[in-house]
Amino acid sequence: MTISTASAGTLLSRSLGAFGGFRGLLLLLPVLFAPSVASAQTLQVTGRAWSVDGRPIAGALAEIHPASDSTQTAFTLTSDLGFFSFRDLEPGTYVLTLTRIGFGDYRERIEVAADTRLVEAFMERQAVTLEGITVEAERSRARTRFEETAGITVQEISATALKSIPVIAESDPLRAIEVLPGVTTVSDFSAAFNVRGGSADQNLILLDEVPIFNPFHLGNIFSVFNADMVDRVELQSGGFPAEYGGRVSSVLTVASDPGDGTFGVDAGVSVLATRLAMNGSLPRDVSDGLGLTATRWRVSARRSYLDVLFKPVVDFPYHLSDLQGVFEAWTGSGSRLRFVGYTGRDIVDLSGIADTPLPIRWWWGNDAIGGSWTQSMGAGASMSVRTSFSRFGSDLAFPEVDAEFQTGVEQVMIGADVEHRPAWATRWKSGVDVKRVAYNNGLLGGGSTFLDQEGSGVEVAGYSQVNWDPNPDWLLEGGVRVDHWRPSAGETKTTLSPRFAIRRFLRDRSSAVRLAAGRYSQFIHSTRDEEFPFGLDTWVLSGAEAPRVVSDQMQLGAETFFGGGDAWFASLEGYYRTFDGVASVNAADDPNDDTDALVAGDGTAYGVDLYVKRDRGRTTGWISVSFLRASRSFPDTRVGLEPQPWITYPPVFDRRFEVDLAVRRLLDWWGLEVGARANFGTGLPYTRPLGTYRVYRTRFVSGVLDTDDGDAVVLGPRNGERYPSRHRLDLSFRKTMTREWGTITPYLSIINVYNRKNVLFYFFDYEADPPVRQGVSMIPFLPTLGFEVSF
Amino acid sequence: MAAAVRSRSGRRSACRRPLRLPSGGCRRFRRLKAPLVACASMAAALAHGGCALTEVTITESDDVVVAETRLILNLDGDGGAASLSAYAYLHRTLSAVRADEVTGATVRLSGASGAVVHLEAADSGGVCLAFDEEEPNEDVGSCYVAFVSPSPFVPREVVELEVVLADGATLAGSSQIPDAFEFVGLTHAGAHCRVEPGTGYRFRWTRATGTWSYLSDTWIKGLPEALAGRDIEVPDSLYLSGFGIGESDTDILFPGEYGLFNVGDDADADLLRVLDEGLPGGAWADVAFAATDRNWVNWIRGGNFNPSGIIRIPSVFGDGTGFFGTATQRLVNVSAEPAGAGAPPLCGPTESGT
Repeated sequence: MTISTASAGTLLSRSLGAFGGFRGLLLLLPVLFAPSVASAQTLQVTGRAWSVDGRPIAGALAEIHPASDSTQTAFTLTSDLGFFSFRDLEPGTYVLTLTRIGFGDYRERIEVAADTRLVEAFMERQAVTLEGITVEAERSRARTRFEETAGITVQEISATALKSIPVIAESDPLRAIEVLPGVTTVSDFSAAFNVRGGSADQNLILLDEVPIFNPFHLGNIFSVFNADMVDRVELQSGGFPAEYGGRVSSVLTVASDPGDGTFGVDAGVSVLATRLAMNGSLPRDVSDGLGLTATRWRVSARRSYLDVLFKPVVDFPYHLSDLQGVFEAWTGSGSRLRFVGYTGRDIVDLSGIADTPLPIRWWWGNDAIGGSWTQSMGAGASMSVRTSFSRFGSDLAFPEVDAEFQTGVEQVMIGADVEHRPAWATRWKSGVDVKRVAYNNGLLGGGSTFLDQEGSGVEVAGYSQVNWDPNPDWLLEGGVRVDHWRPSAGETKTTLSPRFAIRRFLRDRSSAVRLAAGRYSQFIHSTRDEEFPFGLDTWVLSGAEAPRVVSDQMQLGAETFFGGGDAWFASLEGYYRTFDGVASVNAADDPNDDTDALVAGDGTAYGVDLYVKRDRGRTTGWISVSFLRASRSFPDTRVGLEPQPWITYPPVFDRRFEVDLAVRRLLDWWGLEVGARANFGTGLPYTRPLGTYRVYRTRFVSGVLDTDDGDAVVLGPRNGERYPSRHRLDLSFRKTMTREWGTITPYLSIINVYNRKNVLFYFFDYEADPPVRQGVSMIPFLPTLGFEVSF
Repeated sequence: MAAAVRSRSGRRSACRRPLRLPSGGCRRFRRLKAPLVACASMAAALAHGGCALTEVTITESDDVVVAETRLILNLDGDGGAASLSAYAYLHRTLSAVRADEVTGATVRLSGASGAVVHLEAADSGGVCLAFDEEEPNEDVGSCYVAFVSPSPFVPREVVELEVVLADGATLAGSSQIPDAFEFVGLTHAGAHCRVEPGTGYRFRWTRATGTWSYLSDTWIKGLPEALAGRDIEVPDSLYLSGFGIGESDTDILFPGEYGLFNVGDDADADLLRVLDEGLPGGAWADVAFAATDRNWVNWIRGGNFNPSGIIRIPSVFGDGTGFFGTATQRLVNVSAEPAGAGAPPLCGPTESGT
């Protein structure tokens, strides 16, 4: 017997077997535009998981097997609205089981005789803290993605795994993804990342569904995401179906954890900050008054404390603070309402410190809020409406010179999606987004405005996608996305983006090969110089000042589950990407032309990612091996020639080969949990100076040159040299101690255990005799301590 | 006020020199220097945090000739005709084992009209380079100059540069001379005018097509006498510079908006506060105004980030690097004195319009 997951089809597929293989592709086209394909009658079990308090349970693991043969088990995850479905069943008696962390198991013997068997599964709440179930949920999501999506490449890091990855100070979702395949970082001092040869500004970073434009604290060293609020981190690095838009390289979703509805407190102290998180639910009478059957919320606040600690002695010039919250509620009909919000600020104030060489005042931060309403429409169909607002701002002031640099970007969005299953073998999803984005960048001084860049644009996007499994061996996805961008200045652009993916299952659906291709577009750029690993993103929009990015991508991969209980997962994937319309700062812009501050170019990237993961047993973790070859081509404005020659070079994130190992193990000794991260990467490119020369400035009034401070450099080929390979080992140790009132977990994180001096920069001093090369390394050996409390 | 300066309200805003620093160039920046400075400081702080790499001896730098070549059309030449000043300062990439000199070169300028000017070798000190008697610079390059009046080249003419080194190596560049410009509302006699003591004066001029930046600088002299009795440290003379970006940025407040490149120099903040009010009585100044081409601007401003030093955008290519900049220029001598017999004419209305 073949039992598929909620989307797979066997009986229907068998009936359509004659149309299998590539002929099935032809059927996809009419499906795209007329998704209500007539369905065959099959035996099925469909249902919905509820908690006893009336909340549909999302993400529950639903399993079914014949009562006489428990080895033929099929499973799926319940949808966001709690729906699940098994189909293509033979008549008989089955055992249906649903499990979910925080709930007792639901088990029922059911007779499947004709047509559809409907099951309403109510699950009792149960205090379950066994983290293995979290791992199980993660594994189940991976398995479900494997079975139900054809093309997208997703890696997930659970909250548990997140806390075991050693990082500076405290767990950090953006730092954690550095160990995933295809992810490159150029500096220990920046949590900015590049995915599969894309620029850092080509990553869409979402807090749930709300974009965060500049997700960094402390000059990019830490991300704004508080690990106490994280349920999981998902990096989607390629093969995106049509519903994804806005960025061309990757989508990083930091999913908030709304808690389980019971009151609880988590607190922690690290060398960076103190933090407090609380979760609970609305009082019953309030919920009832609002017509809600179940609610849950979680809020967290975080603040650095060194400025307070040192206050009696010295004015410590920096602090950060952030506040984050998520609220989720369910109606009696099983519809879901969800809100998420974030606000955070970093403040550097050196202006009051005597004799400081740089008396600045600088703040930056994000504010974001989003809400969604997911309405059950019956038979597993649903409609979701979502809206969000997100903004980033920064103000860097030099009080002594009365100068100020300001930058800001904001986006408001509203969108709706409809998901429908018009036929058993077909899932159809369509949606529309409307967003308005605006930016401003200004340099003020002496009461005057020296730079005043500002602009806005409206994007209207629509998509329709179909997922079709004609038989147990094949899964097809097709879709089209249209992005229409109308900037306040510049040409309106419309991008038609077809997306296609195909998956061939092997080994009784334990293995698969897949191919995905698509076009992606982007209408926003950061002007931050990626060769300088500090600083904040400064955004500009496509239009008169910046090009539109269009990226064509293709990837081919194979993946498999293996080992007992599918404990292991491995994937090998190759990709090729082109980027048309990437932007770089035009160092030679014409002051008489307001539209040439950026120069448009193009790029390519290809590579192979290998990922092997083990998520069962005492030792879990993964190893990723990435090969990348990226290039960028731009008109070389720095040579001053007209017409400008084009130069092709490897971008600063072109790390050709990288290996990352992330391991977590529970030791027998003292109940200690050990996390380790090892990294090896070949060197990143840099531009080597061939020599330096003295700088002179013209004195017009006398006609002579005068010696100026500093030297200028004559550069060799752009990014023609490479720094040495980098490698590093980080360790973390956590010990959770249970008390009557809760738990306390001290931890030690050690970065760069053997103090490897990985190169950040080289400085060349040719005036010395003999000439010397000096430099600055990345983060040296750095242990940090902290502890967490939960009750 | 410079047209390129825009306020958020859309109105032109008053441009004043920042307090406490000897700056005054209130002009529009296209490069966002401020965050870079902050970030560089952060990098420096990190560098001091125990991250220094072991120093490694490397091979000698490449021997690259740098040709800094300037062609200036002085619009106040004899009889109203423009005169030509051309300077080529040839030096090399720094080395402890190599001299900066580039002797025996031939430097030629040729215009689209067919005119050709050859630059002759001259002493660097005082001709191409500012000469400092107290700290003579022994490590200097080679100077080649030409002074021709009237100029064989005219504004908007394209001029080619060719430098042939003694070993036959060749460098070349090209520039289109910016258009000429005239002062607006400036009264002078023989390029000499006066301002009321302690009063700012806004110089204005016509737009010079093809210019990327107006560079203006001044030597202020007579300050010790003018400020005698005031508790301010005063140098014998003070050099300050200012600028305006783009063709339309055609005014500058004298002396209040000068001093941008003098941050960190000997100029005292108290003295610059005094100059904010205007030139003190008894002081005088030579003031130059130059409409410069793209090559000049690209050479002055920095390019992308490189940790080893400033990146400049060259306009001289071949067997070396450098720039070939052209400019049209006017000079005026300004004295701060009350009206009286023998005094030059008032330069014009004050900043406040009186």
